[in-house]
Amino acid sequence: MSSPCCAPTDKGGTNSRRNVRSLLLGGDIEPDPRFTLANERTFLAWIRTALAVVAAAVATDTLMAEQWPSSVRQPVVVLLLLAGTAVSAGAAVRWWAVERALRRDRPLPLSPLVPMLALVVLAGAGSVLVLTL
Amino acid sequence: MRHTDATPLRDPGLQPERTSLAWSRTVLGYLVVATICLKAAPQLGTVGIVSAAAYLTIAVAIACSTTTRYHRDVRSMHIQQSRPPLRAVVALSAATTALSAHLLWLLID
Repeated sequence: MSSPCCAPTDKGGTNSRRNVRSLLLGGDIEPDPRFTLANERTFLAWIRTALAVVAAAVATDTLMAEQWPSSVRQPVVVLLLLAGTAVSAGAAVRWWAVERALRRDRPLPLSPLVPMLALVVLAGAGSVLVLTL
Repeated sequence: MRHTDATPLRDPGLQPERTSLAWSRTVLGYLVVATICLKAAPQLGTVGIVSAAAYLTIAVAIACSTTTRYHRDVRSMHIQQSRPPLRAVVALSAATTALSAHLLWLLID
């Protein structure tokens, strides 16, 4: 891990960064870089999902300002923004948990974000459907 | 344990390229949210403009680092050493969470 031969472009500071990394990620197994990249893409997919939820919240708040009374609009917007906040925070936690599991060769943990997001999307879509009909 | 003198990984899964595209899609995501916030600015007030500027800044920051990141990923495949992007993950998640929580706080009022 700490072999000095890493690459010609590596400059000072890389070692301390690696120490912080090993402190937070731990484990003594160097995972296949392809799995780390897959984990990175999954994190980005969660972030994009959070952005979509936030976009839906802002769009609902402004586009439905006249169609829906505030008493109906407010809960939908608050639910979506709560979900957006939870998903964007949970994305990093999820990435961290998976990266730790990879570095210990342990089975990957389940994601609590999946059922949470499914419920929020169901509630959001359901309420829009009921309000439109 | 892998070593830096290992033979390059055969990668028919095109991992670095897909990861780079995932970052680019994320840039587009931030641009979409920035646009929507700007569009909503008449109703949201200053918050709309500030949020849009923040999302736009994140988009530009990611876009600037994408090429460097791609080359680093290709190299990590070459030397068979993973490079978990700890700082990028923490920064992106913290910024997105803060912006979303900020909007929530303002809309509740």
